[in-house]
Amino acid sequence: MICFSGCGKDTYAPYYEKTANEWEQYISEISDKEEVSLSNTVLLVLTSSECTPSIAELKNWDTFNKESDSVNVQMVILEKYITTIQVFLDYENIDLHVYRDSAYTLIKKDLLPTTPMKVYFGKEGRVKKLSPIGTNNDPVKFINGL
Amino acid sequence: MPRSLVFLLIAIFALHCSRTPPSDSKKKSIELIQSDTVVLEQGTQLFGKFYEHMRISQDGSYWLFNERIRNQIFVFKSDGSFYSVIGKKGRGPDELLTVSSFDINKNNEVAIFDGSQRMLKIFTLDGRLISSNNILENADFSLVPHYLRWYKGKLAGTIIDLDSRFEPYNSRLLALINDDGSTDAVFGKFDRFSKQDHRETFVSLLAVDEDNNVAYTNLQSSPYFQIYDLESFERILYGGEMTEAFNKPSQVVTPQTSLSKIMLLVENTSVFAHIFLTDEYFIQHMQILTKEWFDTSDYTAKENILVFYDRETNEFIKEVKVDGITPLAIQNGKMYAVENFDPDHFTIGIYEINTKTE
Repeated sequence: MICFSGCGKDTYAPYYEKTANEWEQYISEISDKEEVSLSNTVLLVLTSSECTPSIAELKNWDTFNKESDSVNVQMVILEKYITTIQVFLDYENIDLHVYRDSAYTLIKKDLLPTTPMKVYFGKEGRVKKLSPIGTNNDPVKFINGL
Repeated sequence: MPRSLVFLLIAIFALHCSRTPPSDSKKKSIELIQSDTVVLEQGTQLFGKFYEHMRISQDGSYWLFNERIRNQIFVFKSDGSFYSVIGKKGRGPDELLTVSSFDINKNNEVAIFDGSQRMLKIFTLDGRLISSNNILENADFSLVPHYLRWYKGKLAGTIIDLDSRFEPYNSRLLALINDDGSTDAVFGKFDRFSKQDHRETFVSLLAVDEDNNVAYTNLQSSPYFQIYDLESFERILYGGEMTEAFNKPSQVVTPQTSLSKIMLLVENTSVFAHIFLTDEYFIQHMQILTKEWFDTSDYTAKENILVFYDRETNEFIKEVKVDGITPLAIQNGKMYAVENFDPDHFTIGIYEINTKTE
């Protein structure tokens, strides 16, 4: 666990420097100009066909989101077709709000090095923590920086 | 609706073959003529996304796809109507966690390798379980995804030795698995091209000719192919050539490279998506990762090229560019290609491969 926290920040250092404005512009772009605030938000960024451990973690976040008053959890799915996303959400029984990135804009903007990843934006809207999805699937520990 | 032999938009052209001396086989003219277009019906269980793999029953009447989200096999009749779903999520005998690879045999039995459970499960076409067995117990190799083919009651698959993951060129290449999941034989040599390639690829494509007891393999990143005798396990040929359209990255790409950098490094490079066999040809399906594809994520924006070799002489014949479609399978002289990936209008075009000698 210590290694995970310690190594993570170095590996992903450039991606902690991405500003709230960059991320909010990106969300606006992929959501047809929706104005968003990412303050106290966890974004789960993935494709529609991730592996089993990632899906298990998504379900934990779905449950967490229903119980949390302070942190908002949303997903960004990199996928061209709406039906593909609908099948994914229905089949996995996930209720989280989804932004669809149909042209992999996130990768072109280099906001994250890879997928699937989770990004925690703190109170100021800045990236507070980054981690792959599927490796540490306890939302509370992630939020609290454990 | 069947369409009578409509000449395809496909431009048939041999990309300038200056690197290869002329031979008689190059006087062949190969035409792809569209004979049908079929839209797959969404059934009671919706599909969201298929892997770019398709298997076809021997008589052509059933089409099988691996659904990426649900990890199930979707079966359609050749008119596009939904027929069945094979497997459901779980760890029970007739359940699956991951469909790593699958194939259908002459008796319409469907073999599925579940890589998450390390199990080989065999089903009927309508989804009834025939057998479920552990596979690769104590094995010192892994089966690579997507390439498992029935061969005379057994299953042939391409592999990577576990201790060669970082030096794949030292690995063996093929395994024959019995239908009870036990390993029958492991043999062959990995393509040495992987030593000079700039991508850490260890997926070898596979095509099996059951009647002639031969297996063709082709490393996904390599323009070369190998032919193995499935009775003696000896290599018959290391063949192929670096054709005009082939292009590898100029810099090393590793799993640690960020996706945004990978996009830049592999733009306009080639990968091999499939290999196919007909009585006459060995065909490589090469894809060029175009800028347009990276810009739009539209699968049909990849450039698709079929590289034809003569099966009798093993000589290169020509490259044929196919526009706007993605070939998935060739069976009984017909090519099946995706024309539309949208799950609401998932469309397969069927093309006859016609040869004329000039």
